Amino acid sequence: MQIDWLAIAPEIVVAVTILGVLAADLVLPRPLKYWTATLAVVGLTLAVVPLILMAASSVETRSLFEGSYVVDDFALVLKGLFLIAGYLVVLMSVSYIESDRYYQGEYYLLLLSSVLGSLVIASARDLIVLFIGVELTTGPLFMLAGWRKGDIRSNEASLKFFILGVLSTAILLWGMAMLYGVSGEVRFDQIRSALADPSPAAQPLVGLAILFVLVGFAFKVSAVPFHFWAPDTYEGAPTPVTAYLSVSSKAAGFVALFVTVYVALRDRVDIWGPGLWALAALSMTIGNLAALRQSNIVRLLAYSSIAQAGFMLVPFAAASVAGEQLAEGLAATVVYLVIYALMNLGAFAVVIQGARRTGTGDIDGWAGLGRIDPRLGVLAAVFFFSLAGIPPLAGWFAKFVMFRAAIAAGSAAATSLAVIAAINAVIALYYYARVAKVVWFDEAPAGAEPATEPPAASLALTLGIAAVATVVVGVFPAVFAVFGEATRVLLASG
Amino acid sequence: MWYLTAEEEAHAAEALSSGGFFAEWAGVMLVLPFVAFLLIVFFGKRMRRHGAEFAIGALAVNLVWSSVLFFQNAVEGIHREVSWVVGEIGVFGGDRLVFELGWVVDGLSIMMFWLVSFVGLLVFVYAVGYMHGDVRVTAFFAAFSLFAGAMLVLVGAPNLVQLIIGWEGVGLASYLLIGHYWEDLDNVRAANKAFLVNKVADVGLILGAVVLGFTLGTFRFSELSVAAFDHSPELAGVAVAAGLLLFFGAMGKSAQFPLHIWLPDAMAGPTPVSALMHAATMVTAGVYLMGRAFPLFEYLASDTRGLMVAIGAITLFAAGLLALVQDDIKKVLAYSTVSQLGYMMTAVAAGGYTAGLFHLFTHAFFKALLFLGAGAVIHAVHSNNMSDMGGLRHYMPRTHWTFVVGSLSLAGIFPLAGFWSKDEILATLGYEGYTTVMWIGIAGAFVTAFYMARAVALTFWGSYKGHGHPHEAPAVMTVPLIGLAIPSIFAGFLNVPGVELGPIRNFTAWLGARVVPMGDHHAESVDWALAAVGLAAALTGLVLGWLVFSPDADTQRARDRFRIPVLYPLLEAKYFLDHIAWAIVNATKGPLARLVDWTNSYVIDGVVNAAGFLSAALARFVYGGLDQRGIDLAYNGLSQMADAAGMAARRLQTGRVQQYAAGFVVGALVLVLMIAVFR
Repeated sequence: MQIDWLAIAPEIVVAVTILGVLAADLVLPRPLKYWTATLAVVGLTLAVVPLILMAASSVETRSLFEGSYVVDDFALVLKGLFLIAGYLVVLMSVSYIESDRYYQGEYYLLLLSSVLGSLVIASARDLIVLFIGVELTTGPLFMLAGWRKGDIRSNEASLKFFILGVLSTAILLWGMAMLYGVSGEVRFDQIRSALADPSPAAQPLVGLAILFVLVGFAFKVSAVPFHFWAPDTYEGAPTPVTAYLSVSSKAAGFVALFVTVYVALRDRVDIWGPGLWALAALSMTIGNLAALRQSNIVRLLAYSSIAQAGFMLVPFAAASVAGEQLAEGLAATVVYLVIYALMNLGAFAVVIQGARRTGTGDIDGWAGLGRIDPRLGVLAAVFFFSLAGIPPLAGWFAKFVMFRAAIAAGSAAATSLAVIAAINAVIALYYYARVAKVVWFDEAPAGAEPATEPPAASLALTLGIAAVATVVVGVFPAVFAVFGEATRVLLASG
Repeated sequence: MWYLTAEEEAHAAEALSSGGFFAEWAGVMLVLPFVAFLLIVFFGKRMRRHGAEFAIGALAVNLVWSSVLFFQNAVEGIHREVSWVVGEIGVFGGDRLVFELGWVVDGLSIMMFWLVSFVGLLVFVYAVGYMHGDVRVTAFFAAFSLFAGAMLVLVGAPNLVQLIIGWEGVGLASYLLIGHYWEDLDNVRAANKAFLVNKVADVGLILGAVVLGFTLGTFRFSELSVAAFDHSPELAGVAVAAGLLLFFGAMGKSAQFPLHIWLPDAMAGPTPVSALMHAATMVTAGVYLMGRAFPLFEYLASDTRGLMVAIGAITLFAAGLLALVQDDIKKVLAYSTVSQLGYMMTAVAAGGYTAGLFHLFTHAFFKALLFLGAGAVIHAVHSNNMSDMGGLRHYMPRTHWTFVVGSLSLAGIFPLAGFWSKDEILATLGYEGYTTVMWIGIAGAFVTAFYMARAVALTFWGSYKGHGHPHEAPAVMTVPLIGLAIPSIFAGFLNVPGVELGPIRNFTAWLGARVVPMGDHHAESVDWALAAVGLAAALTGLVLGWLVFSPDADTQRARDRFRIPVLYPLLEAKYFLDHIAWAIVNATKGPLARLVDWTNSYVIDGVVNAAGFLSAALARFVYGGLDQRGIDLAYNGLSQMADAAGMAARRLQTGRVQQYAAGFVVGALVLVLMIAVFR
């Protein structure tokens, strides 16, 4: 069998890095353990190289393993996102993990495994490969969420995540099994042709199978009502892991959703379209309203990320419900996903540094942070306003493409979803702006002194990359629009 | 780069030169002050003179450059435009509207380039002495450079968009400079007042630009001029509206009644700022805009003239009277500027393009001279009030001598510069048929002479009433005074009606180098009868002022308290304009306002409060009820089983996870049911 090694080179590089980290962790003496982090960073950077080579090459689509594994522009864009997000999370973790005195090697090993899983998802065009990818993404996160073994809340976070994760996996697997049952195929393109003309008796089963698969992925993207785990887990898990959960893991869920519904189930948009509509509307509304009343910054971001997932579903769901402009909706959701990843990682980096400065995760405890540490205050304002969608920060463009796609879809259901999104965007501004208000306008507690020690270099790098990207994309949105355009290839076939 | 099309070229009044190298690269002048600004910001603190070197250097280059252009234009007339497209938008109907930057070099802009560079350079040099030892010299010179640069961008603008950029830049720089001594709250308030009053007027300018841009499909002044000259029908439809909007914008910057209220307060800035602001930059911008858009008013929007002339006339007379009662020497000069701007605006509005801009030109010299002289005095006695001065001619002879020259020129005494330019305005008003306004102008000349006589008498004559021993200003301050005194005496000869100065012709010809003929009237010779009446009014004012205020020191202050019933209190209170503003605010207590207030408190607030309350309640319900406990409600049975099975302590943990899981499953089932039912 002819294997296109370049196509799977990113996965191979990450896998080799995982082994390297494992080996290094075994042989390195304790003071030198930080080399595992360096190794992880280098590995993730190297893995980007084949992506660039493939993007530059003239081969449009690389299909491996009889079409079960496909590397096209869609996969390239999202793999790039996963690698960069993973890179930023590793950078964010370095100082956080070092200060904790747990086993550093394991941490990066697990994180890289999860990244590897999400790389697989982006190329999976087959139920089995997809399932492996999804489990490889989520499995290590159960352990990472409980990584601070001595902290009871970390244990609680891990346990809740694990129990509900297993439940969702069960439902997902059930749905996949039914899909296989009615179609007799595992490859997406074959499932699609098999489902095109099912027997009338199999119709209810097809509907149930599709909805169960939807529920399984809705858990990954923490869409309401499958979001219950998110706030508790986010609060208890180490903050860099929370950042990873809210960005990469969520993005992986979205990608799995895209490839499944667009490639395998495209003809049954009448079933999953309304389902997505309901998930989008509920996630935005419940997530935003719950976020209004949060006093802890991480819980606030947890509900914010639930609401953002709702926003991301809007163009996707609007296009599906209308049955029109599917490619438009996909491009808009991907653009939103990429921008959200950057600004949300930035926001979490601010949370890490802010919690270190103020010694608390309570929003009220951050009063006057802008005066204690002006640079951090500015960054907090940048990321939170970007999340709210205020120009000229990147978030506005995400919101803009979202509304544009939803309105372009045109039907009454799509337009009503756009209206719900508009109301929610206004509600969201309130709690995002409140953070900036507390940081800049409230009086600092007596005795607070201007910060002198700078943040750890790796964290500063994360903040810098995210901030520059947030501002640049906000001013020159065309930079990212091309990524959205590239992903349309997913819908091009057939 | 963009050049005049052949068709447009054909409109040019006469064959104009393209000006060669200096016109082609005139943009250098627009950029240099900004370069200086950056250099000052980055390196200013390390320089011996705190960055003044850069500011002065930039303007010195500009002065040489603009002098070459000035001479070229005097001999042959120049018209040259250079523009780059920097962006474009689609407008209704599929047309594209382009935004351009660049520069226009013609008679009008060359005059302004030269004026800004010349007056700016002298004021900068003076400021080195005046600001010596100030706390923020570097910041001052940075903002000062910005001020001059923004003004050059404004006067060099080939289109309305760039003009607005420069216009706002001037506004910003003036805000920074007026508020230079921000430690004092009054100065901050003055800066805010200047900025806000200007913003009100800017609305007019921006709307005018939008109207013109969307009507013509371009923002270029040259195309606006050509369209107006050709009586283009599309433009004719909006000409009056656009003209009035532009005029409203000009009223703010050029301090026309009743938007003049910011200018006297703007005296809060350091004196060199006042000098530059009142002479060459900022307040001249409005008159310049009227000159730049003159073809619009001349050929299409002549219906607006009555209103504009009326406002100009009110300004020139009302502000002149206010200058009579001020004790602060800078405020005397400030109201004098407002009054002189009224002359300029009246002239341009009445159709006297050359007359108005010639007065702008001469006024720049003697007003800058007077402000710098006042600055030297203030520097010496450490007070702005004339009641603390007196007898300074013994201590500061050079300042005294130059101040008197400036005062005589401003008063319009033959044969100084102010005489010729004011006479030309009066002649234009007479020719255009505004006889009443012409007599107001003559009365204004009397008032002008009177308050200047008072200012000179109270400041330099009588005996010294202040503290300490005043000294003459250093040479770095007196040399600019002399530099300004010379043109204050002689500049008037540049435009004696009917006289051409050999190859360099005269001011009228210089200013006429525009893309279309301006169409204003030029007298063949001096109207000596009118000149005599104007001069007589000025001399009477001078003599009367002198007689009242110059005699011995003991009675000086008593005479200053001489109050004319009714008029004096009115002037003292600045025509109650501030009170009127307050009265408008207080009128909200009236019945109509009470209704508005009631609506505000009960209806709008009620709606807002109700919305806020509902959102909060909903949020509480969603978070507390649905998200955290709602599952309890729906699955009480399930969780009760869990409760029964588990111990109380474990219930908190495992119970909740079970609730979550229950919610999860129920969510999935509801989704399935929903699709099954609604499909």
